[in-house]
Amino acid sequence: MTGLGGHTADHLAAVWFVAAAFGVAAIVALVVIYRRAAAHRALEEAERVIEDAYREDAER
Amino acid sequence: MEPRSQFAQLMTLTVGGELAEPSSRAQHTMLSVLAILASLALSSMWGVGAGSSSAALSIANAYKVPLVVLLSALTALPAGVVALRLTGAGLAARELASAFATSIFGGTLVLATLAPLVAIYYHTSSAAGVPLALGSVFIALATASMLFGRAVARRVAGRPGRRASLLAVGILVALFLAALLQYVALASPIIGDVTPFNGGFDQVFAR
Repeated sequence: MTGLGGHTADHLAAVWFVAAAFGVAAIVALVVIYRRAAAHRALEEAERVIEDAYREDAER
Repeated sequence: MEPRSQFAQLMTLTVGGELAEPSSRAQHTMLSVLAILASLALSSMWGVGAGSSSAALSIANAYKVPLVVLLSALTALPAGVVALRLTGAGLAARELASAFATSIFGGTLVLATLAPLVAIYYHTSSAAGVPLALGSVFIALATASMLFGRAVARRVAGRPGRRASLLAVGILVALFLAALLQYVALASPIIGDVTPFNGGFDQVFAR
């Protein structure tokens, strides 16, 4: 019995498995990118707070 | 930054608004990734509703539909970025990806809001169940395409290479749809009944 593109069900199941593996890898990569961006954002925020504190000190 | 405020910022970006405070690149990256991850959750909700004819299909759809959306986006995005570069469009690849992510979020938001309606009609109407499920997908696709076009048009307003940027949008949307068609066929059954989309390109465009 053939399915999409004349391929067997086993072949299509293997294709779906590989595609799903890529999808899961992409989700993991997205989570890593998010965490790195969040850490970078926290650093930026800290730098901004320190900069503001120095500016206030200098004004006094 | 609180998750709630991030979601509010994501909604602002999705509807074409500007963030209240000057935003950094890291913040934009966070919002884009959040848009994709939220899209996965929202499309999963639609999958559960559309496959509610059987418990097994419903559970399978909870991971199949988000994967179909994600894989279609991943397949189409490189071509959109290449088109952007080759046409010398006045839009950065990062901006295109960000607009693409928020438009997918908008589309899946429509899918998720229609999910309960799809589920109830699927169980109570033999005539309207499947057309409504398919119709909700087309509405979501139209919404996402419109949001994507609008987001890019706003970002390139007043910049050179506006037409080239919109061409990249067209290419990206076309490739997303082409990929979606085959991934849906590969992941079928998603809807309990047989539809023309179960057979992919060969069945949809069969003479």
